Amino acid sequence: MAKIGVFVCHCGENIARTVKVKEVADSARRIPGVVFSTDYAYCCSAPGQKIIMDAIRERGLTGIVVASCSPHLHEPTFRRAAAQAGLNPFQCEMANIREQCSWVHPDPSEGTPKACQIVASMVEKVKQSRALHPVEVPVTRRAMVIGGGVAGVRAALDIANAGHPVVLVERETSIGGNMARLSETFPTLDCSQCILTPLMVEASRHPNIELLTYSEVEEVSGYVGNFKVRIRRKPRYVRADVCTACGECVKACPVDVPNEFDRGMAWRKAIYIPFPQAVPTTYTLDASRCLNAKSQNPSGYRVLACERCSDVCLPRAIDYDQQPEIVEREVGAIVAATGFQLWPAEQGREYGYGTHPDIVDGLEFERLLSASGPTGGEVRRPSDGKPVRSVVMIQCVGSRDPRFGVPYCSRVCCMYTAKHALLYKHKVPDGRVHVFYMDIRAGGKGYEEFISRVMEEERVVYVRGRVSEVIHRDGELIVYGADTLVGRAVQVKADLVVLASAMVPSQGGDLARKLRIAVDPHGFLQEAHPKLRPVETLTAGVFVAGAAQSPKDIPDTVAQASAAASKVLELLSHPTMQREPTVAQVNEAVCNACFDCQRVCPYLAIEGAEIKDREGKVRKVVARVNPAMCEGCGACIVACRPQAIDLSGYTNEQLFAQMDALVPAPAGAVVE
Amino acid sequence: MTGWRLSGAELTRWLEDLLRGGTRVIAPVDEDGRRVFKAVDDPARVCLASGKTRWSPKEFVFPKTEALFSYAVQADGVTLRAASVDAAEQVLFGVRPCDAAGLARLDATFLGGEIDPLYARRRDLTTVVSLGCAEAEPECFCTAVGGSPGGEEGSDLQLLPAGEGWLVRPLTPKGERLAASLSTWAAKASDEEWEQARASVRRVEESIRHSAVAREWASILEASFDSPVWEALGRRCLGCSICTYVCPSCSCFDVNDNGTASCGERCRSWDSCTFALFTRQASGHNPRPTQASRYRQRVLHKFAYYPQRYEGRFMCVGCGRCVAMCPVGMDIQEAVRMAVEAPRGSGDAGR
Amino acid sequence: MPEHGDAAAVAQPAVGAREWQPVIAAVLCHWCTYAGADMAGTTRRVYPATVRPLRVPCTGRIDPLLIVKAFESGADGVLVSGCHPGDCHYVQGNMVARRRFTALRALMEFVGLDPRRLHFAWVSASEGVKWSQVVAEATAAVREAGPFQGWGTLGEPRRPAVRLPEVPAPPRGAPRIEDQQAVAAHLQRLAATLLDEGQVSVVIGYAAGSLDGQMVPTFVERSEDASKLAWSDRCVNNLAVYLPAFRRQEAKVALVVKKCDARAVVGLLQEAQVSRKRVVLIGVSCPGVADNKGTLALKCYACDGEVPSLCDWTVTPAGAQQGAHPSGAARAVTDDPRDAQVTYLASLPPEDRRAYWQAQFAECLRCYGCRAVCPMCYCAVCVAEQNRPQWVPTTIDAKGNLTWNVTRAIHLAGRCGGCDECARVCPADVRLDLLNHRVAMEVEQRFGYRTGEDPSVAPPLDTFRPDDPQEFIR
Repeated sequence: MAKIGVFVCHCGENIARTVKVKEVADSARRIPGVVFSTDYAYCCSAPGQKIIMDAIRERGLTGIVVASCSPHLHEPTFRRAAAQAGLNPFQCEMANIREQCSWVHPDPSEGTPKACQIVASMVEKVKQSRALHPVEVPVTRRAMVIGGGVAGVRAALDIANAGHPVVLVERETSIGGNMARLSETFPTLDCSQCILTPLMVEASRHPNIELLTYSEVEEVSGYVGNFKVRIRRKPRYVRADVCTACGECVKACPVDVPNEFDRGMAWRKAIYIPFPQAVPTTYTLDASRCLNAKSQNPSGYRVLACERCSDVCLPRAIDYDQQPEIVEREVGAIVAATGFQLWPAEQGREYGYGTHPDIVDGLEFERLLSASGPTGGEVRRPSDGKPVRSVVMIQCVGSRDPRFGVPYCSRVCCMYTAKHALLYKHKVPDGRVHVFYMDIRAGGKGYEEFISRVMEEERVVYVRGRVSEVIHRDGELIVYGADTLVGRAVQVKADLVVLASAMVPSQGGDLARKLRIAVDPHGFLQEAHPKLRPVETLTAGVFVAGAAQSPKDIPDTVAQASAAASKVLELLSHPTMQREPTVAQVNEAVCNACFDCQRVCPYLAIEGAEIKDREGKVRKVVARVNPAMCEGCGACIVACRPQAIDLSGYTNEQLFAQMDALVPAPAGAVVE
Repeated sequence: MTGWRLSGAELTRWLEDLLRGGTRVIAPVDEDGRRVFKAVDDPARVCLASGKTRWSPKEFVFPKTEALFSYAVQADGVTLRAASVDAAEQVLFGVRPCDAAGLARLDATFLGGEIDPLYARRRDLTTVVSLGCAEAEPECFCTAVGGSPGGEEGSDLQLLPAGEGWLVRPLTPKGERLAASLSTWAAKASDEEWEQARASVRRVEESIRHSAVAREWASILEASFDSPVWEALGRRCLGCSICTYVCPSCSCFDVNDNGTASCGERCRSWDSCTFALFTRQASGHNPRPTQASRYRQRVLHKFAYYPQRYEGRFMCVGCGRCVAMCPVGMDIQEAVRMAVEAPRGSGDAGR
Repeated sequence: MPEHGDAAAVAQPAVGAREWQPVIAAVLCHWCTYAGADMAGTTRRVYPATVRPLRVPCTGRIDPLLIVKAFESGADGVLVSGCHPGDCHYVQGNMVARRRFTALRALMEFVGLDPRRLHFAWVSASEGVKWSQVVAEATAAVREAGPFQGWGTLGEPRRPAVRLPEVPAPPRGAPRIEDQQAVAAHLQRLAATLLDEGQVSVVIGYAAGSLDGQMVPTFVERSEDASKLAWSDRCVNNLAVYLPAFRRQEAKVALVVKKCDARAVVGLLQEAQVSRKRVVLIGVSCPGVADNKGTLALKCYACDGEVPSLCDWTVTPAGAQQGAHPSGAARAVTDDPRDAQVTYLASLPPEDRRAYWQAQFAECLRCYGCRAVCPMCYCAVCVAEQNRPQWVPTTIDAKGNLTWNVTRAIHLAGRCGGCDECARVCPADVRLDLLNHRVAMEVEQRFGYRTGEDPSVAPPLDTFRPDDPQEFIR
């Protein structure tokens, strides 16, 4: 039998002036099930709360309604008081008779009946309330970071430094990502490798970080706090525990392969290390290029066509029979930091990318500028190695182009183009640089000053206008563009054209689907809320950082990586996490397994479950809610026609009872 | 055989007299091709042509929904107030003999052992004027279950078709009271006229080509409980309650509270053994878990259990509405025959 | 009930005779509108004291049944408000709800609810001013509409004064007997083959019933029984209704389907009630079926009867072919007469329309024949059979009947294929076909979705487009 207590607050004059509180308390007292009803000046005050707590204890109340201000303001206050008095906090409800009654209806003859009705409605709700207890979800206190670029490495280090084990998964043979390919970084002109390598080494040596390079995520199952990830470790054919990185194998290998790290502008061997500072320093044998890959004897015996690397390897690290390995890791949180790649500039046909080796994109130019690059840091034409006297740099290649490219701004190109111009001028002081631009976006710290320096001190020519075409004629590249500030078409002859192509999300791996997170229309990983939750996703336990989420520069990437790490640490800070109990539950006896509930859930919190008999035969399939992932919106409740699913705290019975008491019965209603 | 002869116009005059006198007359009316019993205020609306109403007139003695009592839970306790039966004197006019026989079945159910006061009150206030059939409909089989197009069971005042007019004969004191005004002006019917009317009835009886359901079959049917024929018969049934609700003799009801936890009415409403939840218990266990078991129940109730309780009379009155209106054409007669033959036969599913 | 009063009336202090004030039940989402209403309070904006707020986490939580319940409880008006699309705290609840509200609004208006009584708004947490305006506007509209007279009629239902437009003559005559017999023969042979080869363990088709010309569903499990399979224009049943029962069984089933029936099969596939690989669909090229009066059923006027693409077999008078093929029969089709009837009803003033539907629902027996024949009503326990809470009153009266029929129509929104079986079997001739057709028209016009065409798409009320129409939302 319900024993409800009602406490009507005066809130000083705020309520009492326009609502007759004693009448409200009187009318509540007449409601069946209400055993105690009183009014008081300030319910939220200490004495006010004491009255409530005493009443709960002395009268054994099974539920209370505090008729006062908005639950947005004081629901936690009164629920805490209820809990202290031994009443489950979810059996305490508030009737808002202030913000939505006394403050907006100056006439007590109108406000008072409405207040009575609101109270009556909340009393009916509370009568149907059940004690709810927070959902405890065990948390595996280990994290996974997918992507070993600067974002992934930073996040992994932050989490590892906080004392939690981290698995860092990278699909290339070395961590470092795109930042490892850069020469110097704006606006400080730090050598990219110099600032990145210490982080990479730290990550590889950190006792809490397990580095899985040349590995890809195969499958992710489970949910927040309890993920199981299967990772495919691709075979290097070199034993990592034994390889000393002496480099003798490279000297012996007969196969030359265009080096991906240098964007095909230099060569590597079939057995290789991508760049000198690679972490880990283990060499990798590229099976697609190694001569042995083709020599499988039809009878099944493996015949090795070439064993030169193995012959010279003193530690005997080469293992041609190495197999891919599937490993499983259990983690509580996952950070997706898979970075970016450049927009395929050949799609901008007017720029001629891909038709001539001297039309390069930004990352290729970085390699040309790098001391460890294909030209040793000298700016030379890829076609014939001749010096570059004139370079044209074109901004917004693919970016800000809703028709043929991507509609968004890639954020970093203005800055790196300026940097390219500056670095080129430092190497070739009498070289000419023309930069074609639409706008200059330099919003970061020191960025505007950097641009000014490049424009004014370095005497780089900035032409405000677009390029209509880049052609090659008689061994020259000619760039046709417009100078809109002067109002003329221009032509520039160039030895080298650098295209600042758009940043697009890194492709391949189908990671978003495996992590069950959303991507935006451009393929970037979708954050939970662009302003307030920029590093979380809607899938609890999965976070994003870096350019995988949207184009950004290194400072923002590192900041976001640490932000993601802090969210991970929040999650891992306790062995169990508590979730609000206002979650949905399925009545499996009634569920038809139509899965309309699953289709409307934004959080993927509903899955199918088989109910088997003792012989293991499937008797029924039902929907099941994972309370760790349910956010309590209730969309599934409405999608369910037979009412097989209900939402604790806002059950169908509660809403029905509330609605019934909210509205007076129609006069003269008769049952025929 | 006494009684009177009425032409069509005279029948109308009689109805007008009754209506003018304040009698509530409920008769078949045709509403857009749907014939149903309604309270009439204009005799021109009354439709006595061949054919049955969509469903029997049982709702006028056994309403679809009826309040039993109202309750209110106040701070100081619970108040219960019995519902008043809003019934008035009524004449059910133009009730086919099968429907009247159905009323007799309902009487046995509601007045047989414990008296149902709500039913009793309405039934007391009801006079039944039955209407013999000039033609049988394709689904009719009253003769197979001991009825007749000229049957008298359940009727207070019988009307038989006689050419363009009617012969009228009171069968009970209620009928006599109702026909009181006729004795002052209506022409008496002769014995020959009655003989002709009887002959017409016999012709209609013969036109019904269904063979009789034998009384002995009740025990054979009961013994067929575990026969696989029920599975085959019942799988087609979709578990609605059209058969039950149109049936003149079905009387099951459910009791529900209509209101809130604090106040409302306890009502009874028509229910059907064909519904999946009819026998589901609070534990969740349902002794009739399949549609086949529920279909079997309905058939056996009509043709086995009821006869065993009520001196061999079938509960089914052979109106055939269930056959005509069933969405999937379940034929209760056919079911009976197949179940009776099944132990001897191969248990063939037939349909 | 009125003798004792209910809790709410008890709670209300006695007021003397005074001018009628509308009561508007307002269902608000916690994060936006409720907070917006709070803001109106914090800024002391005065507005009419007519709304009674009910807080839910999200507009996505608002079941159309709750709105129906509000009117049933006696509210003069209902106001539903939540976050602007794109701002939902739970990402998309409001946009899913928006589709539901669209369907509900069309249905409620169609059954005669005065549109001035039902209001929708998007009010954010910062729009205290807008909230007070929304309340004022809703109050004015409800005031104009007057006190709500109750959900069902009181006393004897009035005779319908509405006459629907005459249905035009059917576009084609009765099918030829020889064709029907040929189809029957092909069905028999095909069924026998499928059973003999063990491809299926039961063929569900039609056979002669016990009344003249009647066709009823039949289950053939042995090839020697295949000869009872028949075909005529009386093969009205939608046999897809039997499919959900086979969901958990290993047995493979062959089902004879017409074009209209196949739409229900698509719906069952969308909702995982049937396993495609365990069903063999035998499509019959259908010239149309007869209604209860013996003339061409309304649903057949606009239908060419061609075997839909998802069928495994095509049966025509010429033979049975594997796959779905055009029949080669040129069938005359005209406009769907249900469109005209719905349009006519929709054109009437609300009170006339309300009278029409009240009269219709007053006749309803609550036999649930409509539910039983409908393939999409497959729930093991129907909402009407639940009492915690009792969404659908158990009383067989105008109020309970209206709630039941509105509930079923809302649950069929976006799912009803228009086979009209419900209307055919209704003992009271309630025009359920028009009710469902109205909602189907709304779903098609608003969301571009035609039920029963593509089993791979999500049902329309489970999804949304960011630009779904919302001109009815303030």
